[in-house]
Amino acid sequence: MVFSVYDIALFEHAVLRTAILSLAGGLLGVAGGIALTAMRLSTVRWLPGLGLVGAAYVQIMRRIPFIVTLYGLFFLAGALGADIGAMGVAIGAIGLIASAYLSEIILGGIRTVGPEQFDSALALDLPVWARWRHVVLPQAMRAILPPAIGYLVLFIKDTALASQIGVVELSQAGVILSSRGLPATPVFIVVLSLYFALSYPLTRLSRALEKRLALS
Amino acid sequence: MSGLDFHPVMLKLPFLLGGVGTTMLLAGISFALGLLLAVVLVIMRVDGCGLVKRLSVIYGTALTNTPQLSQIFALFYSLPLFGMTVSPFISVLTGMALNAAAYLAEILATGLRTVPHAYHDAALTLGMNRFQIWTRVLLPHAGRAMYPALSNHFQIMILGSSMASIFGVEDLTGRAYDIGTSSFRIVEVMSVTAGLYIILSFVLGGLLALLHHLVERRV
Repeated sequence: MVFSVYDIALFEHAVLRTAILSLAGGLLGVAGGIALTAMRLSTVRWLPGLGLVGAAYVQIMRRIPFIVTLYGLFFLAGALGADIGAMGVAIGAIGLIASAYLSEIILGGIRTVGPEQFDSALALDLPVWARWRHVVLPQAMRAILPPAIGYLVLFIKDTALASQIGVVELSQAGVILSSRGLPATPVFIVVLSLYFALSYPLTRLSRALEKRLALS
Repeated sequence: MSGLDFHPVMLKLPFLLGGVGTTMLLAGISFALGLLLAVVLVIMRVDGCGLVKRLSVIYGTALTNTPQLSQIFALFYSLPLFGMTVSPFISVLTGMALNAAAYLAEILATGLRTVPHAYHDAALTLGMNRFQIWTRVLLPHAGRAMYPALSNHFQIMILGSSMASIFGVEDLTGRAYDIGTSSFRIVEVMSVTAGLYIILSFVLGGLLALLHHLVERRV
């Protein structure tokens, strides 16, 4: 069977939506993950609950199905009158869940850096930003980067659920075309192949980085 | 916003809790089926040669790089074209099992790598056949190493089973959506549902850890 120009235009639109959702959600997750990690590592004396709040957020977010977060946020935005659109809600929901997972990865990476590294940076009297920028982070990155990119693949897969709040992304395009009467099997082979084309390079990159940056 | 009202949810709480059973059933059966298929895939990968090995690797790569939801959609819409009309529950169950097999095979393969090669040689020396080597030596040893990863994936499947609601299955999320749309209190229903999933996850985590502890003590 042959896809018409309109079907191909729909696929183009849908792939773009899926890519934007994954990228924007992933970036939001990186920002949120860094913020959460900072909270969990914070030693600010007058805010002792900060670390606990960060840890609780991570524990809780990872135990709620993504679709429940998505529905909750969608109707919450409606109830609050926040006009951010279905795309905005989906990106926000991916950001919420991605923050939790990425915070675990970032914190894990920082913990691979031995305490003697922190101590020697202190002994050299480096200022705070230099301790992080020149001592801790370059070493932690080796343990952070491969799994973080691997998790991006997970967020690409989560974007499929955005179809449920009305975003016409890749899996929704498949549903639309098969409901329009096109044979479902070839339609979904195209859908799955497009997802594969987005995810597989990242999977490979994550694996290659893991090998190259392996902690010896 | 007209304030939160949890009354309609609390009224329907028994109905909502009934969904937990379907969620557990869906995750449990698809996990078991997935594990069976994963064992086959791993045997293909370890013992097979050439094409057989290749097929197993391709299966894993294809299914872990595409969303589970699209895989279930593909099954849900394609099966009738091949003359197979099955209930939504069965389509979701099949999709989840096929998807789980890819991830579980990865976990099994990693677990097997922790079994020293000498064990395999020792079993051969003792005159065990391939079946005995797998069931008496490789799987029990690897099982210990991969238990945490397996129980973690089971938890992921509990969360993933919420996708069944999209196909009209009355699992926890499906029932939550029903109550939400009939009472117009979706935010409240979803927060209660999120709470139920959190409780479920902690309870299951505890039970799985207990099971691990008991099995470890017996061995």
